[in-house]
Amino acid sequence: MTIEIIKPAASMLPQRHPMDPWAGRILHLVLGYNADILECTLTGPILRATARTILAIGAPEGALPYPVWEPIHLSAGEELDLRKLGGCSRIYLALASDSTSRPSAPMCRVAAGSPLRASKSGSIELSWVADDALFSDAAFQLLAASDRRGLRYAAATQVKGGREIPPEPMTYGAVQLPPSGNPIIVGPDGPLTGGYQRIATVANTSLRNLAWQLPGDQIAFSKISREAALKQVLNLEDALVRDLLPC
Amino acid sequence: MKFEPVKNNILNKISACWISERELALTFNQALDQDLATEGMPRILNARVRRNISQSRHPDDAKVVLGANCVHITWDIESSARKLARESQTILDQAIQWLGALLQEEANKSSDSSANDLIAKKILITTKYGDAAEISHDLEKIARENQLTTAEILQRHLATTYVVAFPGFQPGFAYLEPLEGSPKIKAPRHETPRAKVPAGAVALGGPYCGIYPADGPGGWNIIGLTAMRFLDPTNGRDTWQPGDLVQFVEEIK
Repeated sequence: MTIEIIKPAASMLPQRHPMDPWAGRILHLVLGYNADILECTLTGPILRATARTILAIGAPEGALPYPVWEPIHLSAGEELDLRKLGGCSRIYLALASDSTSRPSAPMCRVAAGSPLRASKSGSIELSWVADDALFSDAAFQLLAASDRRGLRYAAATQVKGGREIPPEPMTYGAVQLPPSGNPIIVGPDGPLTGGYQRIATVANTSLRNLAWQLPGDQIAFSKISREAALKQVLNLEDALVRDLLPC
Repeated sequence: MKFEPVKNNILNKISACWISERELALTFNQALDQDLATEGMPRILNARVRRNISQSRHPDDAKVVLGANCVHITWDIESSARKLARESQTILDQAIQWLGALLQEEANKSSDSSANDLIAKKILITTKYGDAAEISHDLEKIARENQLTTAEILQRHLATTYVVAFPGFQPGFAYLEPLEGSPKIKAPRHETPRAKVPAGAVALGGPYCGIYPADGPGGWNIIGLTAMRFLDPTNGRDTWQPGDLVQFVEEIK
């Protein structure tokens, strides 16, 4: 390891199921498939390179005073202060394989203006809505009692509550509506099944927007068709080929 | 009794609906056990069908998760996005056939009595019940909702034999369903789930009983606490299976 941690992040986890399902794929294309990727939540770490090091950060554009979605070269002794995550709740930190071994592929950067470069947005698209009567385009505020298991929201205006259902499978992005009317979006570490009514599913490409939300942030839902949601996925797939420029 | 390969009357009992880009919900039009009962299968098959479905692999290696009246199949978007966009209807039709074939297989087995035995364990769960502040946080709520005393609720709960209906929620968790004829307890979930329920909490939710395998959020009604766990840490598998029988026993103070 050519990095020492001067101050750890509030939470720093190797991610098999990241909140932003695209971050890991993009960063692996940026640094090579044997890069290690960490999801840092609420604060990032202070790092110091002990030798020449290459790393990359995945975060919304402008959240950090460092370039994102492209390799950052550090020389021995250089520090990176990632404590303040300018208005977003998490970042992805990718460390290239040890500089003594050869990188697995040529390094790349994500082209400026590419849809792969995430931006923070409270607009959450739903690729499925169970019942239009329970759909609300009102604003919902993220509560502090949220984590990777579930994002809990408070409705700004009174929303009709859901009913109890025979337990059914839940996945990351399932929107549950408990009788209180305050929705919960199931997170990547959330339950496998649940008995609060599932009223909608967040479109895959909107999961990226959930990843950056901070308690107090507002979101609003909108509906898109499943076909449109799949088209957005394929657009990002195409961008993975088109927008990664060798550097 | 002989069955043809995937009869239409089995297929007609399954409806399919995409509920995201990659998740397909296959819903049984009636409760699964009622459905199979009409096929002449004994009720115990319900557990065997569930066991079979929860252990089965989908041909596309998609994830199969069982609910009370449904099966959801979830494809990996990274490897399947193009296929999902191109072949939605074919994938949906094939999924109905796949589930229908599993049900048909069980129906065929039911005509062969030697294959009819389900090896089920009986599990005794020693549990502490106590006051509202420390252990049985929701016992009084449940008593009020059922217009009974807390002692009567506990008496009903302890007199009930539960059957492991299906896994879910978290590794090591199972939905425990009262055997037919058991005394009834109504247990509506909390309007807002608690942020933290302790590991080992014995709780009631809807018609089910369950044991929280780990600390975490939950909306069920906590009535007791047990030290027993049902996850084998060496292989990550549940140590109980659909069809196993469960009886709660009060730990002597």
